[in-house]
Amino acid sequence: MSIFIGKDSRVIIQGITGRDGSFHSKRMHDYGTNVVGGVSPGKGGQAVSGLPVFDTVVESIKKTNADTSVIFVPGRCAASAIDEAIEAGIKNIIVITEGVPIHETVKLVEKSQMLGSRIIGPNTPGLISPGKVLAGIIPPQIVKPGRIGVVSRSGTLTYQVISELTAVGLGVSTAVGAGGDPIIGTSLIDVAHAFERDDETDAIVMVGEIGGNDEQHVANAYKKTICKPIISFIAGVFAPPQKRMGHAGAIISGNGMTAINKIDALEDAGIKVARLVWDIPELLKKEID
Amino acid sequence: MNLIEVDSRKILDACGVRVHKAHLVTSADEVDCLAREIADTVVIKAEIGLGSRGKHGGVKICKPEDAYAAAKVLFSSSVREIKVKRCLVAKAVDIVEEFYFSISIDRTAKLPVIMVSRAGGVEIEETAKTNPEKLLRLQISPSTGLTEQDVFKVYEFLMLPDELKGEFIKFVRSLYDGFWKYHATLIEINPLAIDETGHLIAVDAKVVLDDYAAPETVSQFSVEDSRDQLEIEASGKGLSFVELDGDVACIVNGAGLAMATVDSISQLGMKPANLLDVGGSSSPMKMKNAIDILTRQNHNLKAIFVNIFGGITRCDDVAIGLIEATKSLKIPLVVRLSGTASDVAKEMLAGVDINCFSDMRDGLLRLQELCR
Repeated sequence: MSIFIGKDSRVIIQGITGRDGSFHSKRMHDYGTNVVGGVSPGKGGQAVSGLPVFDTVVESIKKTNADTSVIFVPGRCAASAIDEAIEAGIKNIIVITEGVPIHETVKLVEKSQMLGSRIIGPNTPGLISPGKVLAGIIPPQIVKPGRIGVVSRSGTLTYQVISELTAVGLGVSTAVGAGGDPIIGTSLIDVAHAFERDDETDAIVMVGEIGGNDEQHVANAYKKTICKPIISFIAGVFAPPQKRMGHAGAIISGNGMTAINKIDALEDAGIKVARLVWDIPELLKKEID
Repeated sequence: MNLIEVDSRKILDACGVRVHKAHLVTSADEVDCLAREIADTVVIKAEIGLGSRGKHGGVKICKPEDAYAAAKVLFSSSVREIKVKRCLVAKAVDIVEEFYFSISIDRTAKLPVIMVSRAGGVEIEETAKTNPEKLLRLQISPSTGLTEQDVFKVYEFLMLPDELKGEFIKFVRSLYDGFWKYHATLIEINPLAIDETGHLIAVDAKVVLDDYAAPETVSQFSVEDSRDQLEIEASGKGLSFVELDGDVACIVNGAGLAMATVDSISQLGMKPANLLDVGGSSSPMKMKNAIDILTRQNHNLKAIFVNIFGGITRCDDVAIGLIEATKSLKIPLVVRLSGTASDVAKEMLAGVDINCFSDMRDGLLRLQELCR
């Protein structure tokens, strides 16, 4: 099993005719993901790398039975693409786009919860279950199959962490980018709970950062609703307050916690926190041996 | 985007809220002039784009005849490490009662939240810690909108006089509508007061706009970008740049990896000079611009560390940019490249004698050696 989506998921790409959309839909398809088509309004009837293009999500579902969407639609148009996917009944909506206005995300997350869809992201690299499914832009060659679940709020830092695991022979069950925006559809705690229920995951690596209180929720749940071992890493220890550190969500403001606050909360709960990225595998090995 | 107080007031004004009048000045002479005109107790606030000014000596309350001297002191000082260049001057409000009021987005609940307290003028984080029962947090469902019950709950909690009920309902509604209309992620009024006329008045204002949607609001109100010059220039070139006070610079793709790189530089006993995220799909030009900004920002840099994990970003693009940009570079450069097209890139860099690592740790250890 893999979490959220699997080998049987029927994936469409919204924004398939764009530069990133066409490149990555081919890569996902080549990886073995069950990509059944794409959506690009006004371009229905065309094909991208042999995949059929539809005008609307509803039409794509009618023709292909799609249940998962990966969204590459840029900037401001992404919100209506997400809305379209929710209304059409897509179950998992993975939003790669960076720049969806926060108010739109707030409305869409509420709507998705009411209509039974899951949004992952926005501003996520997506997820990968090695050997089964790739939904997003994570470079598949760096991930080897195994029993570690990885969840992170960033993109390239996730790749870095995965590479550190791969280098010592630790493979991954599923790696999930939750997204770097202040409001995201699926939080770290939701992913951690999914790993807890997943019988192919033995331990969890959680890569957090400054901004929000997501990591604290995981700390609170540890040993209560999450019993699998967790190793964590928190980025932004040296970030000054009130400055946005690249990600829209990475800012220490108001009641937001600093990286040190988060590390303390995690360690108080019994979760080991690596101070350097390359220390993660060693801490992890100690937990699982 | 954090708006300075003057601009935050513009937004409140546009929402139809009664805002206490204040003037923006740049010299003690102007303060003196205004103080004589006011001829009553004067409040002088340092306009630095950050909160908690009172706590850090950024607010002076004085008689009009003392305003000039007080302003002189403010203009020659720094508040929260920011040099005071501008101040807001206002007549002190005759406050009958004061409250805290804000609308923001609760990141955990993923919903807008209205927060109010009868403890006005005090930092809300303080109230939340010491007297949480004095704080009302009310989440609003965007699909349902602000209901009559919601507004009534807030009104009840603040124990406002009956005759202000209508006025307060209108006040909350206007701000809630403005919150959506102007893409705010925070509207905070602290204190919200009842003045000697018996009406509500915003004595202070703090507004934060969603960066993703800010341009519309920014152009509509011609508000000022409160970031510093280099940050603004960098963001115009698609780079996220934050200045730090060290001497070892870095250029990284992706915010999380950038933060982790800054942290590692620091953990290894060096002093990071900045955070610089070139984002995804970097072009050769971005690398050039990044090095240009770094060398202009700090003339005492010891070295630059380039840390790229190619995904969407192609390492060969990075290499082209680096070769071009480092022709005139006087300080050591350590490059770490892995991922998309890194093999080609390494060959290109070897041709011009740029040392290149595949492993982040190896690169950082080399950097440490060079900076010793």
